[in-house]
Amino acid sequence: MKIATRQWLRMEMGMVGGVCFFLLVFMLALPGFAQAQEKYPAKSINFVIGYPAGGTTDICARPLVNAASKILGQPVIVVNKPGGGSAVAVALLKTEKPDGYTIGILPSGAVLSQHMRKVPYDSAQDFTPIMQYAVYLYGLVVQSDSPWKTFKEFIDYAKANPGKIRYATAGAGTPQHLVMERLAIEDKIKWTHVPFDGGGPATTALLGGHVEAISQTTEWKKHVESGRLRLLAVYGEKRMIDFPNAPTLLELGYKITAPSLISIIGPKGLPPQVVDTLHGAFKKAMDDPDFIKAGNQMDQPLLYRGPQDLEKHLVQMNQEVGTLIQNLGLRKE
Amino acid sequence: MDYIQSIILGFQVALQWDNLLFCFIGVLIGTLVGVLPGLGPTAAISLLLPTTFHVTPVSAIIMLAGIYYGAMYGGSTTSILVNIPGEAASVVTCLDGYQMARKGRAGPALGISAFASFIAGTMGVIGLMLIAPPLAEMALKFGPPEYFSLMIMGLTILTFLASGPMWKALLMAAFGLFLGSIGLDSMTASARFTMDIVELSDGIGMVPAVMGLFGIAEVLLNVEHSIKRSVFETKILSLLPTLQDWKDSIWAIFRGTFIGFFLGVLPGGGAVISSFVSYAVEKKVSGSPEKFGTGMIQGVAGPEAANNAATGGAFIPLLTLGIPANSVMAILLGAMMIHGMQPGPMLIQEQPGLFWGAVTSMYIGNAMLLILNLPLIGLWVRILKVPYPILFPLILLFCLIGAYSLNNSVIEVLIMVGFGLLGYLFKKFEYEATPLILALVLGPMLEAALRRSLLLSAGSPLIFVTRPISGVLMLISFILLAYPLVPWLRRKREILPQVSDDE
Amino acid sequence: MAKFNNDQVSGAIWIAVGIAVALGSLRYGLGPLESPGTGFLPFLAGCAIVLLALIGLIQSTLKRRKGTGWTPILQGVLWQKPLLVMAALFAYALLMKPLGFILCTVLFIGFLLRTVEPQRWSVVIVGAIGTALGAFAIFDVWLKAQLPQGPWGF
Repeated sequence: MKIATRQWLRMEMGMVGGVCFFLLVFMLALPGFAQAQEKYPAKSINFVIGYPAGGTTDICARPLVNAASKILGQPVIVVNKPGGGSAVAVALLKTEKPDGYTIGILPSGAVLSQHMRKVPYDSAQDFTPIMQYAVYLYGLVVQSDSPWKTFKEFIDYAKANPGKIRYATAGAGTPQHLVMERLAIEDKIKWTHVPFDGGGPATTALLGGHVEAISQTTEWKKHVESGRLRLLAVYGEKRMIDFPNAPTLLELGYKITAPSLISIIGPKGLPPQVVDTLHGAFKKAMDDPDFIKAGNQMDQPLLYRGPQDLEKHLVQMNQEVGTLIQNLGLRKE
Repeated sequence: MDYIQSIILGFQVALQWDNLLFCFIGVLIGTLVGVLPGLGPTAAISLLLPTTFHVTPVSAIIMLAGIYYGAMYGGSTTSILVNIPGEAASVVTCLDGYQMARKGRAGPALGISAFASFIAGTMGVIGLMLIAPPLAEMALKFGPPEYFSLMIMGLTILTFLASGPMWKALLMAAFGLFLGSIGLDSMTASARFTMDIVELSDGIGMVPAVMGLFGIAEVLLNVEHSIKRSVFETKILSLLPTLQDWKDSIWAIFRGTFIGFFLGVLPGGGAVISSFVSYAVEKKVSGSPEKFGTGMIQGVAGPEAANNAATGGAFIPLLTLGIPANSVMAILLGAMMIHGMQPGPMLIQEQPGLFWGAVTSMYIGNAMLLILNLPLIGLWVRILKVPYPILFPLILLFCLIGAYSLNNSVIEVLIMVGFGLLGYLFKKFEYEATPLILALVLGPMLEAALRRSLLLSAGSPLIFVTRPISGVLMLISFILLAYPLVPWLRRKREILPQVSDDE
Repeated sequence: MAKFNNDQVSGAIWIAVGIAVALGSLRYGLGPLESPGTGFLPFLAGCAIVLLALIGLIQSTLKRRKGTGWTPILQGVLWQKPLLVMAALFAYALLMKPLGFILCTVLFIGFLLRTVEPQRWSVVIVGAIGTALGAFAIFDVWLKAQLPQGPWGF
């Protein structure tokens, strides 16, 4: 064995040398390998999104992240970790090191989830708020060849046929889920919630006829425009500009609007200068034309809150939705 | 005519000098990350995404797609040479590819996998061009019950064809499902079996499990014999597949292509399931199924064709419905949107240059991969000439770094080492690890599909048999499960000789 | 041990594993069938493990009666060597943070080269240092894998 080894060594040395030389040249040719490690950010940043690619959250966040990446001078890598209406991603984010190299999105779904069931985080306390940049718009959508032309027809059918309507959302504990639960309480309806990982899969399930309706953010937009799906109602305070014919729930006589928030957070204990750097970069990134275009395309209105405002808002939002859900008796252990 | 015009348009785009260059860079990087375990195409594409900002959207998509199918190809190289699958889709390539390498036939194994990838990749692209829109519609018919039944069928086929008694294979699959359920529940985010270890919240990664069960366990088995024999034949018989190899594998390649393409269309694990199914089919149609696992070239050609054809298929839901079929497609979707394109039903009409340019570039890229990799076979095979006592610490180090760099976490390394020990014991007690891996990968998807199905049916398990597509898939699984019970004694006799023939 | 054959032993272990999994899942709640809970799937998996292991145990007991006995799993092999490798792997995992990547790798490669199939010291030393530096260059410097640094900055 030893002799064989020696022979091999002699034989292969030339080639090993050649490969080493090649690697060396390749490495030297690649720029930026001798950077100083002190200044933040010194390396790529992971950006966790709790919904799959192709959903409204994801589509709008990506151009924002790219613009911020250019400003920060380091790659910001989007990591999609769907599940539990974003609660999975937020729970995982809580366990990350507060070094500023892993941040993510806290959407309203993850806030509401903590009041509707047991989750391993508290969105008001366990994180460092960085910035809010947008809100969601939601709507109730059915297939266009379904018998329900208006929201009222849909509700009447659901009342008359308990258990027949199955609706999909992007996860349990999302605002769009809460709205449906409130409608069910108000109109004494029994319908079935089927939570998916995100708005994309939920919309696909409706297109394939596996559910009767979806209660979702704007993933349905292009299908409603193409005439394949029908928008019955929206959950905002005002009608949507792109769909002026769809009434709000308020107009339909319900005192229901969907709470809404899309914000960027980090693990608890981010150093203030890191928060400043990130907040500065993302705030500037909100002016990026690609981001604004994506927001318009997906009907995701911009709404800015800085770190302090967001912190206050999160506490307030948690109190409000917490009380509401408690009073409705929707908390499940 | 319409198609021909489109294809000409596509080639006009893809053959532009800079697009050719980006295509080449893409497949080169792809091959490299495929060869290095722990560094998957997902990570590579994420890291390189920012560098594509200043190029045109077409060039960016061409390069990123090149990384994807390049990595699919590169992944098989380490599977064949050192029994470490670079990604889940090349797990089955290990089974016979590595055995071929041990018999001095690493060259033909690498060669046939290059040709199979090329043939399947290009046929997948042609399929993508011809039947993208109707096939995408079909994918809509797959709701939660259909996915559940499909995954059950995948697992059943695999356990049916595993060597040894069926209860062992099924048991491994059940254990894999349990391992897959560790972490946060994907529907409620509550923690399961995490033992308060933070790293386990995200579940047990496929990569450390696979590297442990295959790579490390193999090293452990090899070192216990190292005095008796030198592990690899030093004589490399030939670098290219012989005529007989071609005869043996050409139909396997076509079958693999077919399976890969259609399963690749389905979102979620298409490439993985298709490679497993293809292996199972080859074993079934072969005249000598007992030789599988000892270095059958069909066992390399079929799955390699399948996972490469699946990459073509995976583009269909993305380009036609805007639904990413896997994480790489999700990043590509993001990349396309960064470049101002909205993948979906309108993409082909609105951006014909982009769609057809990207598709034809995949054809060119597959040819580049073949040209790039054939000369490299000689280089790869030389690795096998390294004496094992020197090679094995390098293999272990490779695995250790791969596991660590996933999340910069020691826990992942410990998980991998633990799976290495487990894999060693499985070998000793004659349990096959492949059903475990497939179940681990599919577990979370299977669970979500099961729970959604039961929500849809208000708790009635009948939903899996009353819906037509799901019912057919379930029937196939049932027949496979019931089959061994009928010729009870014959099967038992088959098992007995296998007990002692393990090296 | 010799009273039982290999499948009987592994089957018995699996039954224990399966019971532990099923009982562990109960803690997470099975939920009603029309809305399965967190523990639902792992409970099913645990039950399946128990059931399959029972089948295996029965089959192997039948075989035991026909004379299929215990096949010694470590006979004729140098079981000390896998043990050494496992020990080295565990030590590597535990020491890579405190010692840093380069030093830890030098020790790991050197140990394996010297003990498992002893090489000359020159090969061991050159191989260990060369591998560590080479791997560091490829993975850390070039691919930016951020391997752990030791207290002395490497």
